Amino acid sequence: MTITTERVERPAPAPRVAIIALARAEAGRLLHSPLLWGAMVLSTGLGVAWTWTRMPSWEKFHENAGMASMVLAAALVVACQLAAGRDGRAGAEESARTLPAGPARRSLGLLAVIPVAALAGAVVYAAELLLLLPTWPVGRFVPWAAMVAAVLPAIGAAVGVVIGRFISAAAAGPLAVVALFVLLALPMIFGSVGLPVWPVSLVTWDFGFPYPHGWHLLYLLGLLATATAAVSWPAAPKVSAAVGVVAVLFAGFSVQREAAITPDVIFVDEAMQRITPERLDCQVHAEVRYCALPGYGSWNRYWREAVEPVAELLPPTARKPSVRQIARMDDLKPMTPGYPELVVGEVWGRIGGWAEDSRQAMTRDYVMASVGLLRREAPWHLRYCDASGQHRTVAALWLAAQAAPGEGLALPRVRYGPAEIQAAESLLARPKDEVAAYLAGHWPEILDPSATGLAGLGVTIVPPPVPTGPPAEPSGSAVPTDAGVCR
Amino acid sequence: VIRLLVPHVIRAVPWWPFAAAAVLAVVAQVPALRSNPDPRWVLTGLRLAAAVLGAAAGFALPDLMAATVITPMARWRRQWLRLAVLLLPAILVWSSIYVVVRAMVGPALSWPAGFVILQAAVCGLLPLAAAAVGARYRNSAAGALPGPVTQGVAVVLTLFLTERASPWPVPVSAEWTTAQRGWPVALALVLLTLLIANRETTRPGSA
Repeated sequence: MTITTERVERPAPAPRVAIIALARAEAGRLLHSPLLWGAMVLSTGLGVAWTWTRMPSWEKFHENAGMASMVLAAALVVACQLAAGRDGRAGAEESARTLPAGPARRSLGLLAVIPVAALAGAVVYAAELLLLLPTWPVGRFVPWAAMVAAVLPAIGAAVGVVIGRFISAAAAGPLAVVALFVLLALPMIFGSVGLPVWPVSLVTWDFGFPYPHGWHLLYLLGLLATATAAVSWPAAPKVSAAVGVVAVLFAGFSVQREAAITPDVIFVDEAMQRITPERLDCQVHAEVRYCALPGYGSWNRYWREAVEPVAELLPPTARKPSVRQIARMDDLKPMTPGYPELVVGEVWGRIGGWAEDSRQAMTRDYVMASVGLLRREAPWHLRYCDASGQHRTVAALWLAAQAAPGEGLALPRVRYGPAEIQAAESLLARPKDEVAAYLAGHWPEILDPSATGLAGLGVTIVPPPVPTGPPAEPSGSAVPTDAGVCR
Repeated sequence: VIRLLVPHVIRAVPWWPFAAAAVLAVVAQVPALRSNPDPRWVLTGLRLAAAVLGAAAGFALPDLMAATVITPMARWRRQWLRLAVLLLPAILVWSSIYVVVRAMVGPALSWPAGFVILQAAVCGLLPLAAAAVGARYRNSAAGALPGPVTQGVAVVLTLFLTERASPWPVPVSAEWTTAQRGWPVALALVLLTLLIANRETTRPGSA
């Protein structure tokens, strides 16, 4: 018996059309990969979890998002290695050989995974931002740092394809991930010169020192171009080789520039130059001056929540301490010489208990600054001191308890005893307005550490003599935590 | 019968991933070469060595010929044999690395040895257990992929636990925190999974 079938006259597709069809198929396959989706979920989760407790700054957010996107990149190395190695696994070599599009063209089709990977990275980045709403990062947004989150997965995908083209065995992907990790981490272990080689910029400089994120992004793009050139090498050997060589040199040059710009040390003077009072974002609310670092202005409302309950209780004649944000370094010089000032850092709790802790700590610090127990210009102001017997301690306890009812009678970094707590409780038993009026009338005596300003309200504790001059400097290596009687 | 099978299994299992893993395991110890080694990186190197060796050993588990040959031997024996052929050299490689690193960093750096070995055992056996489960369902090289993938997911999940809750505390303390008590539990679970996954299977095609 002879079977005749009618021949379908369908012309072979043009190379372009074939490659586009292959690219669409590969993109579709990757989009259905559980490795991709699983890694996207894990990356998003990690990025959000690392940023969950603290109000994010763009710098910190980009660091966390970048590190999280490395998980996605690692998964894409494995997924794309499997995709590229498909031809050579499970005895598929012979079937693959009969396909009309050869390995070179199939490699070009596989390039479609790179934009898909970049898109996945961008989606993860956006998802992290959305999940952290309603809080929005503060500080300076650097687009080059943001793009790292999309470029890293793209590099992962391209590297995966390259490896899959050479080694089709399934074990190659995971081993490549470990090898890449070791390769990138080793320079970092051997000192700061190797730090820029790591895919995510982890250098945290003081405020106002822009990190060369642009050079870092160019370095990563150089790596991406190198891997892409390796993928398209079988299809266009000469062009790819030329592009590859240029890309490697370019990546090397960029990372070298990045390392060269990075200073080894930053001096306090230099750092303070960049956050001088004129450069800060200052606002006055209810007689209190708040000065935020540029870009951190939206934190004003959190500081006001912490400060205003205290400021309202202070006598109208009292000097209400200013609030000033500093970065990592402090030269201990107030904005207005002689005027009390409270410094806050770059860390604030983002949500729930963490936000409560930040507010509570700032309320108590503001009380301390208001009564002169916390003085910014004193170099020993962060050491413990003995505030027992002093009437301003009692006033501070009363202020703290009135400003934040139900949070207990506690002051940070000072020692006091049951006598002061008892005196504060006796003040709390009196009507609030009566005590506030008394404070207004006797404020200078209350602030005086050696006076008995609260005697009119029945406070009988006796202040110890206050030493003059600074406390004894720490001798030897052990830093004393105690500065003696509070000055 | 086992004695007859050993040479054949040795020839059948894929050795190149193991060789590559051994090289990586050695390279990961470079941090110990520093004049004042950072304990974080030294310990990470030791754990990474165990993990990569275990992941590579897992690729011996899928029996590519299982569907084509009827063997007069129980599956669990064959699977444990395949496992042993790579696991024993893996243990040997890791132990040598450990001894050398221990000698290199000197007494300046100390850690509870038992605890680090326990961590390494979990890091190395977790991918084996996952690969054994994978090999039950798929007797191809890709059947072992659940090993490294599970390992990767497990590592990422531990990154969610920060500071005190982290199972990777540095310095490794001798006392057992809640997070550290998880390690023996993990080891028990991993061994149990291995035992179950290497059982006889009645599914056609994966004998």
